[in-house]
Amino acid sequence: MGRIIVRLDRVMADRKIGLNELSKQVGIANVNLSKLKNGHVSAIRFSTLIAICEALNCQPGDLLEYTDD
Amino acid sequence: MEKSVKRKINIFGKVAKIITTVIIVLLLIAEGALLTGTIVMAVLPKDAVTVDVNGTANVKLDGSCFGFDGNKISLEAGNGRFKFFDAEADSNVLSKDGVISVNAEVNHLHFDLSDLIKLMIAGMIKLATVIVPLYFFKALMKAFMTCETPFCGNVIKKMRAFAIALIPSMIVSSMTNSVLGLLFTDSISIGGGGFDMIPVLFVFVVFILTAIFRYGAQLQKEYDETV
Repeated sequence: MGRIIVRLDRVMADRKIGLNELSKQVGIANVNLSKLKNGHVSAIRFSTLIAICEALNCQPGDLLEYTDD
Repeated sequence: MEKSVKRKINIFGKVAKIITTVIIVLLLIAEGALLTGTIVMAVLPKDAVTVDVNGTANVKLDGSCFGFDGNKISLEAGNGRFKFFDAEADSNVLSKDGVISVNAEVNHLHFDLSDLIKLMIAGMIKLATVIVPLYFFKALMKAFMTCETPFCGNVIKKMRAFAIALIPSMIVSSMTNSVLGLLFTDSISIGGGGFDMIPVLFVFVVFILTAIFRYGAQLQKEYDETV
């Protein structure tokens, strides 16, 4: 069964933005953003995805990658 | 979960835990008193106290067993006369002349001290089947008192333990009349007034609630893992 890898750290590095600043712009807690970055979540709301894409000026496909393990 | 809702749950758990603790202490005191009484009666002669019920109730307390030389206390009910330590009783009042009115319709029965001991042992068993579930209920309330959400593993575990602890109490409560009958008449009655369905239904409800809370915990986990 495949899995989704979150490439948030890569996009954050490209945009040169830190976790604290991103969490303020997105409006979710630092700890939750950290969980998302490390892949310790099982689901993401569209509202959160929209907020992250707006803050990082990217597409959902830039953040999420499917891999067939 | 909203903070106000969480606080209400925690407060409810705290209050319930305190009340349960007080009740457990009182019941333990009663259990101790019953145990002491049983031990005291066990060392007395079997016929120190006998009760013969034969249309009238005839209670005879042999005073010599209690250190009162030549004193005998007799009670004859059915004809309205009662004598107890030169006191009398009329309804619920004791007076000096030793007469009390007691109306009772009974069949022929003979009880001695061993029957009273059996009754006290039955009482101790009944109390124990109440104290044990109360202890688990207190643990459940403590879990509600300290939980961040009621749908957590600790609450579910305590709820399940409480449900299982209720089963002996349910059995004893449901069959109390039958057990008492067995102790005193060597007969057993099942059905109708001898079997109470309410404790059985209560146990089922608690088990169902445990299943519901387990489902809630699953939903809570999915919610917590969603950003």
